[in-house]
Amino acid sequence: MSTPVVDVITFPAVITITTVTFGGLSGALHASKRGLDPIGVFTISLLCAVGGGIIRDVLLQAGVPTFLVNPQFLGLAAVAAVIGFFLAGLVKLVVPLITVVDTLLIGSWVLLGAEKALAYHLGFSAAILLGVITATGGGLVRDLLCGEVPAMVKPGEWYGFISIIAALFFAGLVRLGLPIGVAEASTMVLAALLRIGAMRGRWHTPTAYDLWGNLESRMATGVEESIRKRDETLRRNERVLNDASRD
Amino acid sequence: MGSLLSTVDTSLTHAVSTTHVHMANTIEVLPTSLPSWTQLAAVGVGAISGAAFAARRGFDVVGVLVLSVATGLGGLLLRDTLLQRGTSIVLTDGRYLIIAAIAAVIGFFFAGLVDRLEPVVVVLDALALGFLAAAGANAALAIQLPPTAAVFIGAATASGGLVLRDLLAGVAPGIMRPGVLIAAAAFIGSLVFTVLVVYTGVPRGQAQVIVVLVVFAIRVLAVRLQWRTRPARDLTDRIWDRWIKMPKQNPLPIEIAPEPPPPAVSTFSPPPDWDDTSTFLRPPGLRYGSDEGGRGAS
Repeated sequence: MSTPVVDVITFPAVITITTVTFGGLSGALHASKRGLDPIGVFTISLLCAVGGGIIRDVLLQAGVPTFLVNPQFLGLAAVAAVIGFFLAGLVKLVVPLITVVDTLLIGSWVLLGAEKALAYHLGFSAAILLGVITATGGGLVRDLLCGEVPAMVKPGEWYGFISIIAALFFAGLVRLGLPIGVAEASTMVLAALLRIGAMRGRWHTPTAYDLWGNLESRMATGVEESIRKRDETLRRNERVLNDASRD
Repeated sequence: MGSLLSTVDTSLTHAVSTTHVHMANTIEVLPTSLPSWTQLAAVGVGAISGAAFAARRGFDVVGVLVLSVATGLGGLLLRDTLLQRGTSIVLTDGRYLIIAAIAAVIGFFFAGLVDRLEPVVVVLDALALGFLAAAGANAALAIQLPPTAAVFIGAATASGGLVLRDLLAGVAPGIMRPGVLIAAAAFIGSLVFTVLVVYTGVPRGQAQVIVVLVVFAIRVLAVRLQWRTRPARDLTDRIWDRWIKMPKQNPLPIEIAPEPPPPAVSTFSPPPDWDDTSTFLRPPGLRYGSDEGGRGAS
């Protein structure tokens, strides 16, 4: 497809590169934790760095995916993989740093997807979807390749949820007509704050709530039964959460 | 002057079309498209079943949302990605995502109700399968792909969402299990659509209705009558034994001695003492002492 006439991608290249590099580093960490071979480490690292962007570009069908056009992305992923493979001891020292930077950059992942959708004149729901896909696609592909249930769909940390909130927030700000730079900055700040709050406060994402069953049992058998069912649900959720945190 | 005007006109048109090139290239605006509400309804049904699937497995709000979007929109996304004709209809038309989000909310709060209404969900799923198979095959035929490609795209569109759902939920894709007959129904549906449109010239709208009825009948009958697709059968040995392998010679055939025939039971019994001249032609009632215990004296 041809390039868009109106290009609203004003995202600083420094942030893009930082985001991709730290995505690659976290992928390399994940891979070396599983004891993969060099090819595995490189693959996982590359996909964590640019996997979300690949899915985004394939869905957009807006020409060749970005990581093929800009060779720096491949180079950054390769560097991250080499560091993760050979300097695992060094990387382990700075794991907190990587984790912190990686989680603070969740907003910029969302922006990388949402802005591209807006640049191609897509609607706001498309921008939200592409923002979330770009933010979570790398981890999704990583988990699928490692043969696990993706962490995104399991109850646990607030990562996908924050990306959804950030994408909604960004789309709303742009629709309100704020300057794009202001919208970007506030989205990144909001996402980082939510992430910090979720990590500090150990927030768990809510699991499905069976409203119908609850109403039904309340009407049919009274309060005791509904309390029993609620306790059962709570126990089940607790078990699922334990399973999720054990992995 | 006229040529100048036409030049200006063309350039303007070109500029406009470059601006909206991704819109002009979407499959939905092709003149041969099917009514879009059918696709929207199919997406909604798939999304609700995906959301209920996630809620039943204890996934969180993001999981319900992701599986709802994946189940509902995965097939159409797969179709548009394979066809490579611009940004997917799912992204250019905002209604699809909104419907998937509403379905996710329903699945999140009312999974129990959705489970309770399972027969209704099966019926709606069967209808959605037919609509999606027709939509996929139609999009492939609309850009002049060969019929085989149209059959494939139709089947992939109808069953892609379920495959993506199972992949993301970390279970083996269930559409190809024996006894489910979803992939088979989708394949037959898109085959019927392609044959009707390409070889018999039935209008696409009517072909779509026929396909929906066929797929619906297959699915509902499969559920009611518990039809099962066969697991793969390995015919290699049979073909080898029957047609290819040389017959082996048995080097020393072991001969089993035939069982001796049972003794013949004859109903003939010789008349008493027929060769005994001493008693032959003896008048009845006349007996001799030596005759008692003799041959045939029973």
